[in-house]
Amino acid sequence: MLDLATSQTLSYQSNGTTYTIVVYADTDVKTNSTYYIVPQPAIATGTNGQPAFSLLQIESGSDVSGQCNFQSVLITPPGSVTFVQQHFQPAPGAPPINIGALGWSGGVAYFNYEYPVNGQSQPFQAVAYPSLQPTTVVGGVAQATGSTAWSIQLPTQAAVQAFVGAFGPQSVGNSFSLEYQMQVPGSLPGVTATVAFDSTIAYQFQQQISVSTNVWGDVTSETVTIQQYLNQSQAGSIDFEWGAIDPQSPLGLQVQNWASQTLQNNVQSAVNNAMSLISGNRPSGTSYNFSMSEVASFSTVYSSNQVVTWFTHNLSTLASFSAAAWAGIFQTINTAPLTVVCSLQNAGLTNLGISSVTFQITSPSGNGSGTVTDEKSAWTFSVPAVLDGQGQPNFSYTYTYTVQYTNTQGWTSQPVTANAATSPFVQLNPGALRALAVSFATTNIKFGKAQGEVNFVEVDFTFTNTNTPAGVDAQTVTQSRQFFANDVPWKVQFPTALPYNTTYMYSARYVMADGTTIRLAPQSGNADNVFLTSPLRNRVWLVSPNWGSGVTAISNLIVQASYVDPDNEVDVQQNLWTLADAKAANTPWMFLAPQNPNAYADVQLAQFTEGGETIVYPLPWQIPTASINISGSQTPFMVTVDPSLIDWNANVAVLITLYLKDGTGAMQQQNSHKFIKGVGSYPYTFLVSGAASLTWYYTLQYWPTAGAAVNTSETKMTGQILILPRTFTKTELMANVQPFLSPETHARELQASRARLFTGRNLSTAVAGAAKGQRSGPPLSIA
Amino acid sequence: MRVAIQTQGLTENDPSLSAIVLGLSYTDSARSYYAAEWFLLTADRPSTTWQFDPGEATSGTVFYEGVMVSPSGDVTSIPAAALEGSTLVVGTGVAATLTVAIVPLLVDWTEVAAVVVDIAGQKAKLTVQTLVRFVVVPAAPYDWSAVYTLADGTTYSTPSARTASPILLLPSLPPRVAVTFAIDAVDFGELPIASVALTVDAPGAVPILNTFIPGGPASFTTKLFETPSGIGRWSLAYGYRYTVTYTNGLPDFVSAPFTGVTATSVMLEEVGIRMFALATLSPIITSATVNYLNGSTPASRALPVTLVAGNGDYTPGEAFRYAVTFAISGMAPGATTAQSGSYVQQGPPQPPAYTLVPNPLQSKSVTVTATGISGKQSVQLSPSSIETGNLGLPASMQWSIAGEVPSDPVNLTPRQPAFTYTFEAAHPDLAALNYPGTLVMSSFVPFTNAVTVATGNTVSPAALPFTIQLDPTMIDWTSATAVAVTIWSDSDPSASQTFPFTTASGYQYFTFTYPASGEQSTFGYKATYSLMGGGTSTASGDRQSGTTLLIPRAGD
Repeated sequence: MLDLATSQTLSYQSNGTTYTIVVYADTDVKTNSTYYIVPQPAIATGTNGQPAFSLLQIESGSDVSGQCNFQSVLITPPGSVTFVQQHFQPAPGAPPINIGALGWSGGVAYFNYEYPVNGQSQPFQAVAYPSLQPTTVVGGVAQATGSTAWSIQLPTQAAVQAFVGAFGPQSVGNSFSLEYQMQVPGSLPGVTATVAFDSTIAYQFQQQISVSTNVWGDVTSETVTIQQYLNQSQAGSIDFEWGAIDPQSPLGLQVQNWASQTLQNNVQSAVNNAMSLISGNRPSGTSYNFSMSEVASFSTVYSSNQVVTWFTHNLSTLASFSAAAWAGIFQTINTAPLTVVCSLQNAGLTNLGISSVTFQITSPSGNGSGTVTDEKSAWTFSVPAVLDGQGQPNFSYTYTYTVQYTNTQGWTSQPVTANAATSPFVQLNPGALRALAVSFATTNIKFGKAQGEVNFVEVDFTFTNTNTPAGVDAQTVTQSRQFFANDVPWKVQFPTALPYNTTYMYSARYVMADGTTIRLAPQSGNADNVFLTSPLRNRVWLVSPNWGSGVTAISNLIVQASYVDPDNEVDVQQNLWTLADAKAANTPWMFLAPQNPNAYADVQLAQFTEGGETIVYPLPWQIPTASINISGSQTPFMVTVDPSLIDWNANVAVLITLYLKDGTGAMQQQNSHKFIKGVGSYPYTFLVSGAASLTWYYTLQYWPTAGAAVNTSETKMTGQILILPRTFTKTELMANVQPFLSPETHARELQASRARLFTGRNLSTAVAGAAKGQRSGPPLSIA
Repeated sequence: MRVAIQTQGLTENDPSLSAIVLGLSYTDSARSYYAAEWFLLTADRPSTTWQFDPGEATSGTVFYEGVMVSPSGDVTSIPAAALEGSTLVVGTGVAATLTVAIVPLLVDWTEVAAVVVDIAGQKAKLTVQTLVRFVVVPAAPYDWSAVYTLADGTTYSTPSARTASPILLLPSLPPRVAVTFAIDAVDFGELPIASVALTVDAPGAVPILNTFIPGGPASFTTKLFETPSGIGRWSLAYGYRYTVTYTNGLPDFVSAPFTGVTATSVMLEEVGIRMFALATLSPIITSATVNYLNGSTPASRALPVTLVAGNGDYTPGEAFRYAVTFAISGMAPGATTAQSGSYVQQGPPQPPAYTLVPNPLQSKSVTVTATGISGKQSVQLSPSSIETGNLGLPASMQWSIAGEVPSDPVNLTPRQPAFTYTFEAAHPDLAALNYPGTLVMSSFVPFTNAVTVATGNTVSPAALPFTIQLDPTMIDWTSATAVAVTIWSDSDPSASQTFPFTTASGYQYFTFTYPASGEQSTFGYKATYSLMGGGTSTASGDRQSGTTLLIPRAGD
């Protein structure tokens, strides 16, 4: 495996030309003498020894357009293998220097070009997916990999001329370039990176920009959209702890690039997951709304020496062709060709248990078939297009593809008819090939039997293919594996019953040495490799008793608290403090858990003896900060304000002010809280003198979408849950409508809210229905 | 001086003329020399020579006129004309010509060295000595143009004109206006520019060239001719273009041609690249990104970056605005807690080509001291820093930097009464410490709203902090340009405080104190809105409860 910290940029000369290459050593280079050379993009050479490149100028009447078809590959520069073998020395006793194979787990290629539009040069970028065949060296010569097919439409003569100017023998150079971002597993160098995404921030941001952009609602949203979005919203963050690496060094910059790419991919994956969950529950053909609140937040820590999916970034500026080669490249024809590029999109066939895929194309202009493999992942079909009755070229075509599996019999897809004018590409992902493969491995996890160590990690893999005919159950595949050591891959691979467009899901459960478990929120993905690491951090809580004196002196304090992480399933053992008096040893509660600011200590029991009586504090009592304060003269009452019914189409904000009143009517313990769309319920704890029951007061300020705020008058409460009404208008204020839900008329809403707030069961759908007056559903049973 | 006189039509077999009477004169006005003689030419004497000695007066012109007599006695006149060269041919079949007198009367010879007039394909040079120059043209009308060579070697060309007048009065030069072209010397020193080659196209003048190089003069002044904009009226309108070459191998940048320019001072701001360099940043800034709006196209790039117009990074000539977003994460030097968030710094519109983005963060330390406690009394604190901004701008411009609560519980005691929280702030005078806590005496007295921008604060049983957050997010910034909010506690109305808000503001905080044993006062406020179109409006409230003042959208 690549040791990413060993990245070296080396220059050498071969046949009078200076080449620069990036070389990595293997993590076990001392014993296997293996080095990896990062290949560079180049135009492929055809079997006839000529460049696999064609430029057509199409003259149709006075219109001139064009098409440029070519194949690119990744290949190490000439002489690089010999150079690396001579440049490095094997360790004593180790075998001779060996060139390792880079096994790509994914990749994307970009072709950057430009041509004038209205006289101004405009840049363009085409995207394609390279083949994932590993790099190999045969007889001391590196073989091409990353085969990618391109078909670039050139709409004007100026565009054709720009390509002639760039690639023709008269060219004075150009800025056209090929860029590959290939994914390969590697060992992260001396840096710890925390890649995080907060969907609640994203959600707020989305509301604020929803008018101007609809990026999340679009199923076809692309990575570039994610990147732009992350830039704008700050919902994503990357935190580095640099070790021995200078952040500004070439390796440092590579790490930053990797982290940024990883964040994008992770967000895209989370979005895909949410969208597939939503779309999977809808009849096909119906539209649906998508909200970022459906997307899971995450915070992933990638620490030093951990195995990660690394991104090699390779860019080559393209040279022009010789006059001799150009003669075979540039042609002028009268009729546009029907060109279809058939390719695989991030599908490693061998990995998927597939030996080959054969495309068959039929069209009025001619038929053809071509086979793609891991070595050559694209096939270009190009024939002169016949003219239709109006003298226009007919670009329609129909394709099927046949998948040959290594273990089971082949399968041929249904025919699909398309038009090359609008759909010149057929790209197949693993879903279309009816095959799924993913490899899981743990990395950098402290396995062991000691306190704070991980006994094992259990990964549950689930794949549900909802793309089944009516009346046929969805295909569900579940598999599970326990990991007791790092870097032991677990490969999940199976053919699916039908093509699929859903992602797989997995959840990781960390079983600690003490038997407690932490299950992280399920993740979705479509990556070929998943590396799991430890998300655990130190957390501390302590009990601060006010032992008091005289009649308020307390003793025999018992406090029991559990830890609640609303986003992850954390099985931290409850802590029990039993403190007879001030002299008793008061040990802080310390444990490991994911660092989540939404988490809190949920007090299960707080009781003590006062004046011979056992006093029990009222519950629930949630404490996000470190101190659990206990006093014989005061009682904490936590109230929860639930904004779930607020109509956010009518209001932009609701401000609540809560307070107590003393005997003279003066306000105490005032606090205000602003609710806006996307903000959840708000807990606030009053500390009430004595053991009396709670009486508290609040005022509300509803901010309609326009106009002045509506202020309610002071309302007295004794309950501990306040559900805010949908809206509150001036009319309602004048009609003396009560600004809360009464148990007599809103029992159902109150029950649902209580269930959701304190048992974690989200019954908001039922509540929303109830709010619209649909009260005929089955009765709710509240635990 | 000799003039050979030849005829046509007198000597043929069937002569068309019987006689030609020809008068010649020679005038050198500069030397006041004059000579004249009449000739009768017949078949017997069809040609002759006029010879005379003008002495030094050799720069004159020979004129001639006369009549042609046919055998039948008809007389045809030969109109007065100037002779070019030294041979005069008259008679049948000799085409009529027009003699044009070019008069440089209006030319200011202190400015002009010479004028070359192109008249019907002939060139005539006039200098300060020339009072008049006669040129024979085939016939009226004729085309003419003139190139004035100025004393400084530059030229001015008149447009070509057509006229039939026998007198060509050369026009005076148009007025000239000094125009200064300049480059930004600071940008020049920082950018990889090798040269800026300027070409100025003024009407009538040959293109004026000047090359700016690093270290050379940063400005260049030249006089440009005006063009007529009416009778007796002139106006300045010229064009220019320039080519920027770079030291780092980037392709040259060729500016768009600017035409119809009327300014007398031109700054060559657009040099084909825009460089955003970074000063040494605080270690908690994990990335700096420039988000820019070029025309209506938004884009963003990680800093430092050089935007190259030729690569399509931006379009010269389009409006350019930018803001730098700093992502913040980590623990600052001297701090014991991490901060996270972002800071957005707006740049000026149309910034110079070179922008050095400074470190936006400065260290701030805030100390909270517990006073008036004794024995086992203590103050539990949950301190964290908070700073916000741009709340009146679109969401993408809003920013917030938040610090964490220390992982070890903070407890102020009589022995250890002070705690100092250190963090980094974009605007230290506005960055706040949020320090809610609980006063632990015989009972727990929580103070849940305590926020301060001051660097030293005390908490005591006699004076617990009570903070009201002033929230500007509701203000309608389409009608107001600024809002000033005066706020006071009803327990001490005289101790009011006024907070200014603009679109760039974040939350601000008004703090008063109350005794642990006493009540929490209500507050009053008055907001004054400075309106877009001038004038003000106000909104106010009294006896308000709560700890957040959402400032009303607008005043009455």
